[in-house]
Amino acid sequence: MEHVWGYVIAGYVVAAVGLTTYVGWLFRRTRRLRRLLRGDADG
Amino acid sequence: MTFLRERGLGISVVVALAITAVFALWISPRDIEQGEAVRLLYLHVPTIWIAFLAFFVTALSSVLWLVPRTRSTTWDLLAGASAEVGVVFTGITLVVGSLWGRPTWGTYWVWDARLTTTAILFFLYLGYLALRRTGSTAEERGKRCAIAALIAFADVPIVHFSVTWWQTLHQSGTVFNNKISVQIHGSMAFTLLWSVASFTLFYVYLVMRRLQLAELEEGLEERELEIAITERVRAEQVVPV
Amino acid sequence: MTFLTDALLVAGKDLRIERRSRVALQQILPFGGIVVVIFAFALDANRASLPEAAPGLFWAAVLLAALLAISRSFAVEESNGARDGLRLSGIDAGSIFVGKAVAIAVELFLLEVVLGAAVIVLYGVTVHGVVVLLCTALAATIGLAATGTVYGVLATGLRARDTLVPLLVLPAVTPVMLGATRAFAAALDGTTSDAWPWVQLLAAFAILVIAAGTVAFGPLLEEA
Repeated sequence: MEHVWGYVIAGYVVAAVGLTTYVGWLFRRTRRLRRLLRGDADG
Repeated sequence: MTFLRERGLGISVVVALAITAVFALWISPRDIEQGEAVRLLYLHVPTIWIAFLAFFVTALSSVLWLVPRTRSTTWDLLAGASAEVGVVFTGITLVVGSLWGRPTWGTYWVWDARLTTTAILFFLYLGYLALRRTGSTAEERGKRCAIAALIAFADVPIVHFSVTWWQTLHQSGTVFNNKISVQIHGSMAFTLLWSVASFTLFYVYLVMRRLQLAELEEGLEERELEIAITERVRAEQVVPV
Repeated sequence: MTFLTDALLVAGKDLRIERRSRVALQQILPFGGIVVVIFAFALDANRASLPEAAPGLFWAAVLLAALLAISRSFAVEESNGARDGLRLSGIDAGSIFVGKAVAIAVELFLLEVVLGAAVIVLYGVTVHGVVVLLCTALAATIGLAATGTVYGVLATGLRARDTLVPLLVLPAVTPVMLGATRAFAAALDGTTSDAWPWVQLLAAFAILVIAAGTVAFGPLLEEA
């Protein structure tokens, strides 16, 4: 079957996008919560 | 874990995964039978392995939470964190596996034992994640979720057994089959093993960060509760002039 | 022996409630019926494909009706502090579990008989291997009822209970769905010998769930 590379790249892109989105969400939410809790502690 | 050690782990993960990509997409050769499609297996195999590992960790932490002597909120939070990572990886497994199936089997989906069981696995733990979001108190949530996690975990082999009985199309495991002889050799074997190892490291990092987040969220809930109580007390202490 | 007598006591209570309220008879059974009809629309009421699909469609309808039966079984414990009454009654939690599961199983089994007749008539199925069909239905129903009872108590008291229980139950009972459908298909084909392994799988599943449920029900009831 031709264009097999297409499927391979699609697979890697999906995995990369999925995982970076998840990691990104983790980082962002962690940062927001830390800021929130630190703010409460000061105020 | 200290900030520097965490940073170090994070960087190691990125490097390891980058090496995986280089080997998987470039250095390793195409397969005699599957052609370039084999490169997707360097993704697909690790992600399903991680999913199983993740759900095993969930089951183990659930047991540790249920046993009164070892009970600790950390186990409950770890169970949830690992399950979430597991669901993410299961989802990726399904998509990548589907993309692998199209050029090799000619179809995006077959109802064979492994794919079907993986789909059921996905929904089982999706339900578990939904359950995690309902608990009122940590104690209550812990018990329900721990038992749900154990039922889900026990159900997977049963589902797999039933479905294997029902249909088989998926090739027998390249590394973990009954004959226990590695069927792929050379740089392909290395790429696969390196990929599994780097994804395992990635899993450890992800669960750590997710656990951290869960602990922060617990802290936030406690903080909000404290604030609410303080405000209430203050309101009731207003002395009429 | 008190374990079983207590269980029958609880089952009797649930069945008596059903006899007086007739919810299963007037709501769940018609629901099963309309599902059977809708499935015929889904397959274009094509007489050729319906008999072939009949085992699967029958069990799908039963599964959906079972979700309602499970929901109902725990809804009756919501009002008048019934749940507290159950907890304070001194009845062993395992007995309560078996009792509630038996009640659901009895309701489901009777439902299956009626829906089965409907499927035979509406889908044009020729019946063979009645013994296998009955044994399959027995084992499958017990497995369904037991699993449903475990998840039912697990989600009791939660606000999202009605949407959560179906999401939890359906993936968990896939082995039952698979086994029952295959066994029915083999029985109706005439190859009843192919069906018996599936019946064994269903029985093993049922036994496992009953064992697990008996242990887990106590702790879960405390939290409810």
